[in-house]
Amino acid sequence: MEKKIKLLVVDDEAIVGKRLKPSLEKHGYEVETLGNGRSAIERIGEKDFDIIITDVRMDDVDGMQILEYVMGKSPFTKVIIITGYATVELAREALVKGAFDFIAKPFKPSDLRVIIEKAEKELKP
Amino acid sequence: MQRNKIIVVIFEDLNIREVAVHYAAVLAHRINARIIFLLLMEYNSDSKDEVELLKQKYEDIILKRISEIIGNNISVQAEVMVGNRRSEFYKFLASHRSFHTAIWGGDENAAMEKTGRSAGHWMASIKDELSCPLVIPKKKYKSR
Repeated sequence: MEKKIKLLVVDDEAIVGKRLKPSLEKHGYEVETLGNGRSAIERIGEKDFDIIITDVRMDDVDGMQILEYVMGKSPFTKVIIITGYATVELAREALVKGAFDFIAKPFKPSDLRVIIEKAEKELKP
Repeated sequence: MQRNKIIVVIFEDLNIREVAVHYAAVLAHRINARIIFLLLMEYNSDSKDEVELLKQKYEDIILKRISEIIGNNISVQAEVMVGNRRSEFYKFLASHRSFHTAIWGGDENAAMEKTGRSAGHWMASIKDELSCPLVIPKKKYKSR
């Protein structure tokens, strides 16, 4: 049996995780959701995820800090940045720091799925 | 001589507005710039084609159409990005240093209006972030 891709969704808007989880699980992914950056850092420390989807603006620990932590800890993990406050500068910062992709809210689930599928292909040896 | 100035022409579908292509060609000739034709396409989840195949298909279509309009004497480049248009355009801008001019090749009104019929159009919300002028070529001048 093929191993499931492990996905973590981090967003302080609970509705994002709530909507994405079932839609991604339906496509065969193993999905965890967390509502803040601090618990995400803890969880990433305990478990290796294949793909992490994180919001940028969050209290305490933001999405860029999560990206930097992941790049140091497990550089093969693909980080997808999502944000409701997209700017060119933010996109540039995310990509320069090593984000796999960047997506501005609001987006359609299919927009995100295309990016996840692209990331998944790069995970495969 | 190397052409450092870049003109970007933005389309949001395969309906290529000739006036935008002509404008870009004339301007490129005048200021000795090269042109990137950027096509931002939504991904159709019903599509059976893989994204990379779609990109190649669209790129071929756009280059063929452009050569029909302005011939083959101008060196052009086509770039196709598939996904959420606003996000793809942010990434495109983030990965290029700067442009001399951006030319809007989509619906004339969409890029202008922040309110009204085209309110919420992705280009209307992003155009203020461009670090170069955005030109919306029009075939006919409409007096107010």
